[in-house]
Amino acid sequence: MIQVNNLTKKFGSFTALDNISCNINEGCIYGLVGSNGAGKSTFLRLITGIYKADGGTALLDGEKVYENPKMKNRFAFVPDELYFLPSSSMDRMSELYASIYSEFDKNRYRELANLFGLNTKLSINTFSKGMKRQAITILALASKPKYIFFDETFDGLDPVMRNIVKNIICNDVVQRKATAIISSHSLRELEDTCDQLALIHKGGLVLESDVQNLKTALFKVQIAFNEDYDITRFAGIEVLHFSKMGSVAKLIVRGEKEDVIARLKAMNPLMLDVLPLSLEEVFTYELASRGYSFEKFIDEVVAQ
Amino acid sequence: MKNRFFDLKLFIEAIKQLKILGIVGTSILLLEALLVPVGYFILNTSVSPGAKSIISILEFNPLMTSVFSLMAPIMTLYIFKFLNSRKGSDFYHSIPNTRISIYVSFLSAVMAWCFIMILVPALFSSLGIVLLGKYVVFNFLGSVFNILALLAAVVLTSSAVALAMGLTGTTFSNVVFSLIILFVPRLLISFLNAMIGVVQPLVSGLHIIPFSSGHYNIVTSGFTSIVDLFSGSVTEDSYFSPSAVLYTLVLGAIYFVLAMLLFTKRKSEMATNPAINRIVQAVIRITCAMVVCLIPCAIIASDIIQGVDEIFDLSVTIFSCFVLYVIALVVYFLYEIISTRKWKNLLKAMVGLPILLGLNVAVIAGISAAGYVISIQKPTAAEISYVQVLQFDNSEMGMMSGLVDGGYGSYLGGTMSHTKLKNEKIKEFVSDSLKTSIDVAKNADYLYEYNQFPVAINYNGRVIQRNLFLTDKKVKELVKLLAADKEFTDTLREVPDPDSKFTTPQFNWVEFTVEENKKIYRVFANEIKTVPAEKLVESFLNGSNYMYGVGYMGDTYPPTEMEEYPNPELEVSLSVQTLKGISVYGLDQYISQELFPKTVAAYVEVLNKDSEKAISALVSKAKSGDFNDLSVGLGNVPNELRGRYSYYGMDEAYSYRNSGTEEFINALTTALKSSPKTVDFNKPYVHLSFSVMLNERTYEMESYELFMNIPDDAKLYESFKNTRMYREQRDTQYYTD
Repeated sequence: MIQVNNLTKKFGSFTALDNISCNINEGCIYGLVGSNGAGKSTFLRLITGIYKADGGTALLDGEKVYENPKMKNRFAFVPDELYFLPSSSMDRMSELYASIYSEFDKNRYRELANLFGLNTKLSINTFSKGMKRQAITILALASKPKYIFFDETFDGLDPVMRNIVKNIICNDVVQRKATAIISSHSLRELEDTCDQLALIHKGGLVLESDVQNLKTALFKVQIAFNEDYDITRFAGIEVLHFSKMGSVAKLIVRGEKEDVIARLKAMNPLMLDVLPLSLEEVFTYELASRGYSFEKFIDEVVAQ
Repeated sequence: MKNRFFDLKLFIEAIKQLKILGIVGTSILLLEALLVPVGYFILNTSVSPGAKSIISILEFNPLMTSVFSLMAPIMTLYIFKFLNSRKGSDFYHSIPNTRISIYVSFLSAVMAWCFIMILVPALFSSLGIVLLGKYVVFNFLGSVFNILALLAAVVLTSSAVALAMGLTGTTFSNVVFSLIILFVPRLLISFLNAMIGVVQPLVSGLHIIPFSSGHYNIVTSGFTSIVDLFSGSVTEDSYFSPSAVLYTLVLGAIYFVLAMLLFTKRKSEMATNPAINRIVQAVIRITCAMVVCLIPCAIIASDIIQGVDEIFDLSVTIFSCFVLYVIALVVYFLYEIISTRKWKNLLKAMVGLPILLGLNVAVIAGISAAGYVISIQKPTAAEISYVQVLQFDNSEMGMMSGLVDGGYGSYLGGTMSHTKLKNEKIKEFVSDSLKTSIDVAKNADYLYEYNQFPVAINYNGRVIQRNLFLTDKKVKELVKLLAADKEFTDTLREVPDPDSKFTTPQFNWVEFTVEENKKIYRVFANEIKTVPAEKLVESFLNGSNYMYGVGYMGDTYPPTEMEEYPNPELEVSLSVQTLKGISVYGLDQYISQELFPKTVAAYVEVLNKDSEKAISALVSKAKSGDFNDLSVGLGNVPNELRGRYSYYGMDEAYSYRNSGTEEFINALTTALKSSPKTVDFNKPYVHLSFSVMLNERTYEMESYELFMNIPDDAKLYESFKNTRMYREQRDTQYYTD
């Protein structure tokens, strides 16, 4: 289990992470979403003991990670910028990993290399960006980590390779009860893989929730009545968003879907449609309900 | 083995990462270790050395110094270069090892490779020296110290570079700060010493700051020896010095621990930053500029103590200082812009300028204060416990006279500096002379009028080194006093043991065998004990340097060396190497006929052993004149004939045949055939030296030299006067006169 309490990191006068707290259970795939510079990488570097926190704690299985080789042996970290020995091949890198990680499994390394179809004897310098990321993923997963930390994992991978990586991570989580934290600036990359999602913005944890909950707790309703009406007609239903064009209104509703539908039907609408929300829409409305403007957030991302 | 401080697997991994550098380095040094003995063998079989050389490993494999000066820094920069990139730094800080463990394992790997690069070639060099036992004497203990010195230097350089890398985050700043850590402290000490010596002629400076001798730091000794020379010292060889090994090792250990602590504190995010914080950045910047500032500091301090130089007026001083300070400022800002690449940082850097100014004021004040303190130390004779006569001082003169014999430490310098003179008269002389010397030293422009004589004075439990400035009359007085001191004259008579296998004498570089050189040296070692004391002391008062105003006790030189046409009197010079402890010391002696008649006789006896062969060669070439060179010197003959006369080169052969020399050679060889082998130098004699070409294609030559009495025969003299070499030389001398 990963326990993060009031984690803070400053670089000079700039606060990169500000009092972040979260708990990540064993066997969970935890997605970190945020714009560039939001603090995702800093968060991962803090929980992997690369950086020392200026405040708060990050514990793995109840123990701190910084300068703790025992705990560091339990995780593999694939950063956004990849490190290879100069002019090394994958086999040479596997020797480096084997000397560092006690659980490094040569057979698994061979299996994964075959699966990805990489030539382990070639210099990594000759690899494309995506192949380098595959290589480091193979090396990281061959060390059989209990915790897997991926920063911008899918950056540079083609759709086929993305799916392979996702599958391997899912298998590791299921078979070895591993726990994974995956960061990305793309929500779509994470929604089909992660159990939990967290949104980091300007060093703060804006939103953290179970993906299934996120997807089911909110839904879109299109409804029409003969008579004129406004939002007050839906008193008793938690409406996050209300818009009306002519006689048709669009509602974003939080609550038990069956119960809400039953109550709406009881109002004898001319039309009633219930539609699912994409994860992005869920985030938009959840953030709006918490006082954040998702549009503004998106604008900032675009501006960056 | 894996613990908090060391990880064997990580160590092996680092060994692998360094293997290309390590194997290339070891191979080059191994090649040298194999080739040098072969070359030495070929050289010694073609040219007879006459004396065995005392050899240590480093002399057979001098490139070994590149292990600490080049390989250790490069390897350290290479293995820790991950600290300079974010991805590398993040990777190594995420692995299951403590920071200490990474640091120790990696730096140990660098040292391990360096040790291999030293020890493997050292083993082969040792074998080479042992196999060349016919030509060399193996200085085993010295070689052990060579290796220890190299190992200690490796610890120092690799730790210093690691320390620099712990404080900086780019390759440029790594290299600059490594150089600062390694050189600047020693440079400052040496420079301050040198400057005190320059601004205050009474001292050489080395006795002012503890551990100030450049030899202590093996890594910088080669560099600081240049500065030390100007501070008036020829320092001992670091590679044979136990104190240097200990000092370097302790300094290395301090750097090692400091670097380790920095590694534990260093933040991964410092990668790519020129320094871990603004303070370190300022320290580097100020240090770079301060190195340049030392020169104007010295100029200003010199003007404060000795007044403005009479030759260069004040405006020259002001202008040169201004230019140097401008250069210092350029260096100051240049470092900032190169390392940070941000123009706006130049403004921030200006905050450090007052500190730079303060340091300049402190250095100028420090040098001036030291100069003043030296000038007020005037121990009375009663306060002086003992006096030691020093040999080496006033470096510029020292360099000219080749103070360190054949590249080795001076034997005599060592023995004299250990002799404590407690004679009351000597103490009085030194006390009085010091007082007058203090006044003399106040005006450096007139120092050339005096003889400079360095002594160490022990008073009130401390030793001060001072240069006495003596008139010629005072020097003569001092010679008398020293000659009356038995302990001192005993020291001069105590030459290296002739029976030791570690004593290797050689006379005049003539092709004597090892045994012949030893035989003559035994006679010398006995004879020096009987030489009258005053003559002996006088002979050791270095003649040639005395002419330049430096009258120290040292190696003796022939009085006629400076003359264009010296008399053909015997100029026997002796060069001895001997091993004392772990170091080789040299003694160069001029053996005068007046003081060492027995030694000279022994020398001539050996020289004349092949006189028949030489005379035959002379006879055989008399007609053709086919000499490569021919030199004739006549002694105890009428004044007009005294001197040395020569032909050089094969081209002279034609002239020779028409020069009357053939007649003279024929007359001479007839006379020599009946001459006894033992030479009486009170009678007329000839000194002949010539060489003939045996093989023109290979330039193989045979050389001959002999001294023999000749009859006081007017016909022979007349025959000589008719030779072209006599006529030409006399004409030249006439016109010159």
